[in-house]
Amino acid sequence: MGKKTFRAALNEALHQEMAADPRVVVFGEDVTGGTGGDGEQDAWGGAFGVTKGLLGAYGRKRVLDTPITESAFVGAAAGAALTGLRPVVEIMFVDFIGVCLDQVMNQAAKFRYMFGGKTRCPMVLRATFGAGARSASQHSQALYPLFTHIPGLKVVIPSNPSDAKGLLIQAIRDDDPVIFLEHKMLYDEAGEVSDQPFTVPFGEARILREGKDATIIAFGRMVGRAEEAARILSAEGIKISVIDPRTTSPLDTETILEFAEETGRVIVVDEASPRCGMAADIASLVAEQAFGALKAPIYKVTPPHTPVPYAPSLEDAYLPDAARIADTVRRSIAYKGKS
Amino acid sequence: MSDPIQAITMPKWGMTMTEGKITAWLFAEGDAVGAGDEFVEVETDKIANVVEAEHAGHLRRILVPAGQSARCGSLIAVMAPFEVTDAEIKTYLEGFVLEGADDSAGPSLTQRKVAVGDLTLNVVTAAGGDGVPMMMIHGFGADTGAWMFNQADLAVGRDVHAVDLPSHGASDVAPGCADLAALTGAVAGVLSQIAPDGAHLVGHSLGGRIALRLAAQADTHARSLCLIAPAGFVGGVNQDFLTTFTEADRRRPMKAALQMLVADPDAVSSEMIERTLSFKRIDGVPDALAAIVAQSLTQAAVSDGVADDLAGLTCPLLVIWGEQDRILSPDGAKMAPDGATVVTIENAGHMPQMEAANRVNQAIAAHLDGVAT
Amino acid sequence: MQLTRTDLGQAYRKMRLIRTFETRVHAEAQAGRVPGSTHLYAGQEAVAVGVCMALNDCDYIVSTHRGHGHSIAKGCNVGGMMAEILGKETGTCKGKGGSMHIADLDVGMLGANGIVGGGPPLACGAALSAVTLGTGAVSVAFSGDGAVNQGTTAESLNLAMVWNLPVIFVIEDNGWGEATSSDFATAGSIVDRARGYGMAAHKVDGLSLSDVYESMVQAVARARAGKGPTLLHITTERFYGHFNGDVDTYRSAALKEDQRANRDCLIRLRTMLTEGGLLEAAELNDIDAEVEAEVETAVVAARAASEPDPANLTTDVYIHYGQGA
Repeated sequence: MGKKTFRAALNEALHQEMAADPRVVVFGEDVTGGTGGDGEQDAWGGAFGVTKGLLGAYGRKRVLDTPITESAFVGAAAGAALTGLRPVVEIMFVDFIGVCLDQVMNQAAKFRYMFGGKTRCPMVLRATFGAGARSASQHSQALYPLFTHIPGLKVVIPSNPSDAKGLLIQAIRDDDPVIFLEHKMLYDEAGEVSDQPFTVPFGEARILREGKDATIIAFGRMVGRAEEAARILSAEGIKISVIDPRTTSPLDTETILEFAEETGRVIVVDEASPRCGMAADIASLVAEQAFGALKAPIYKVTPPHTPVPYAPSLEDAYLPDAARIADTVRRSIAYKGKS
Repeated sequence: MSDPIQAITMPKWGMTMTEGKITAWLFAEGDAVGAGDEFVEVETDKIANVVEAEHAGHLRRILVPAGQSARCGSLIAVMAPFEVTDAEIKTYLEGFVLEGADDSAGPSLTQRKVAVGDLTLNVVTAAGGDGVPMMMIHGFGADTGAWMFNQADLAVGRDVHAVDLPSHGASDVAPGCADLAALTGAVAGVLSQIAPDGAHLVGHSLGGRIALRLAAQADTHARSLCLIAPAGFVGGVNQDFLTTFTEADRRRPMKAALQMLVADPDAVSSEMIERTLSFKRIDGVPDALAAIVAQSLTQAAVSDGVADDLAGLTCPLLVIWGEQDRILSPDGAKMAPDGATVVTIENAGHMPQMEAANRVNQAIAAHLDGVAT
Repeated sequence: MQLTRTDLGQAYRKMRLIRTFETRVHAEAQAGRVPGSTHLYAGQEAVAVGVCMALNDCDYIVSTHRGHGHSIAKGCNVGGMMAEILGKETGTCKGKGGSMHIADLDVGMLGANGIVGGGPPLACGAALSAVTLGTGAVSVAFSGDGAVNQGTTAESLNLAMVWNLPVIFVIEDNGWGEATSSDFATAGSIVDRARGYGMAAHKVDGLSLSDVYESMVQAVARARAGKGPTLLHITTERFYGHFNGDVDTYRSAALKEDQRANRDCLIRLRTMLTEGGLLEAAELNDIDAEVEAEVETAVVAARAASEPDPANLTTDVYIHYGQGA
């Protein structure tokens, strides 16, 4: 047990799984960095440093740099997974899924079903996501609703270092294709992480706090903001529950419904674009299956329906923050309905 | 008492707590507070508890009002006898230095690894002074966190250590170390390194059985023994609990298992459930736990040698049991030999050290006071 | 490497099996018994058979939407295939994939693929597995002349060279990318494209079984020796339209008659065998009849088989899914 960053926790997960299973291979752009040059090798260890040190430990047969050719190497990951390897392939920003969506959506996701249940495709696609780094529209999207929408994929969004490690280990051991999304603003966050290898199951939400006045459901970086809002509200005497589903596919519908029933007020905080997002998905679930328990409409705290802006003032206004989340909770609590 | 003015600081419960929030002051400024009175309620995200006054006094100044938070170790109130003037209080406050005011603030809890043969065991220590140290040994499925309301409190004039048993907490996962002899040997190995001249032993549940075995061994040099709901006394371990606990791999069944441990089911927090589930998801842990159940927690294995160990004790014995313990019957206390102190805790189940921490701490402190050091 | 009389007899049998199979599928489709679309391989048999003869069971192929020929050549069960195409539960993929998604990993067939250009990256992955696990296997990506212009194909050629993969890109050029001729759609020379990546590449007459086989043997040897990928641009003939609903008016009747009369790889092989004294016409006729019967059996069985039970609609999406999965 020790305090480790999100990045270090992921790195540890990769090391431990690569040590345990020779079929685990890692590839992507600059996963080492410096290849082909005369200077430092493993200079980057990935654009965000997550794969640093793997080259030294496992060599170039298991840690491969790729050219900038996502379709080819993400497709290669799918083909390799079909034929005995357990690839952990990285695309540098989830936004780049545009150039290789077929390989994920039409190939990896569908093999098992199309081939009558006779194959397995145990690949993990890791990608950075999320706004806050002033990286503008093409490098700041969330896009997990896109993947959640596709049957055959599993979608994982850790919100803290310990979950990052346990969920990545689980993803690597899982025999289905997994999309593993890492918020770029969380890499430096530190938290207690066990030194031993451990797993966190998919489809099991983490309950950060319990309070009977309302329930906030949040993902990724928004979990921290929901917690902040909860602290603000607690000082006002409003006690809320905060839930982090950890995976959007499978989704822990049982826990979400349990808390919807217990508190009667649900607020979903989702950094992804609002149309057809997780907030909409969960609102639909709760409205349909916990309708009778609701004391207020289900509220969503999301960005507006725009691309992610560049200027700091705009990007900060774009993202949900603790104040806006707390406000929305108060609105839910104040809701009187038709009386 | 060397200083009539008492600094009341935010307590630190467990390794990770960095701050706490005052939820309620149970006395007002100017009130007289008796020793042992519960006088302030504190909560963190994970736990809520009540702080008792160590000594009698008057609550002269509340520095952190209800609803606000303070870092562990920081000053939250000042108590002093009625005669101390306001000016003296003011001077005191100005001169108050926050001890150890850094990120890992609070009464110093440090962690270290101790090698015993091939095994590496984790030990958490609350530094308290040069007196004979204490070693606290948790039970099956728990870890040093079981002592979070006790360890720092008891570290008065002595260091208080808590060890993670093999395959628990941050110690190595070792399915081969599962019978009583092996588990006891591992803890003995730790003691021989960190408390070679002897220690006060405190053990809970399976840890109690281990502590008893250790205390009966001469080379442990046990100065006193406190057993909290120890295993191996009358009756067997609640098998239903063991089955539910070992099979639980999701929140609901784990909650059900943990609720069996306590008198008040609401005392089981999400954090406890999450922490226990996380523990069980460490590679190798389920197998190790199964091995311990099979080799140490059967009726035969756990009770084997208890009477002999009790008979062989040469140090004072305190037995504490929660009246509503559903895991190990409180009738077990009857096996305590004449001369032992037996304390039954009302409204507590199998975890009195958490459910009624203050009472348990007081009982242990009193027990130690009575031991010729 | 010389093919023996036996090898050639087996090659003929395989090619005849594909031809008969496709002819029967065409009939079933015309009769309305094929639920979706199907893309027939008739005319291209020498390519599938010549390529797969140079491979063994542990080698991989990835196919295209026009995959029946590749599937049969690699060893997929004909009965299972027919049932799959008719959408029955006894199909190779339990009726869940259909004509375009037939796969059987036990014989190294990584699937027909409905996405043009979907195959080459997968084949690179299979080759990577072979190298990493040290199996000595090679992989083959079948692509059409249409797929050769997809970005995925270009990327795969590059990646195969950069990673030195044991993969063979077989560009099966039947002159038509759906309804558009490859003359129009393809700039420059396909072989030159591969050579532009530094890759060994050859143009091959796909109507000659032995030409296909020999070029493949060399490519496989190169790959197994760790010397990297090869591209084979193999020209061939597509007898039917793009898919079963394609009336194919964009090719003249004269052209199609000429194909059947003068550019039929089966006739060419038959001629080569009989004129070369390797096999008698009667023996070949016997093979034809056996094959006819085998396919007839498959059709009868497929027609009689049940449709998949809707209760199995939601199975086989994941290996395990749900809470705590």
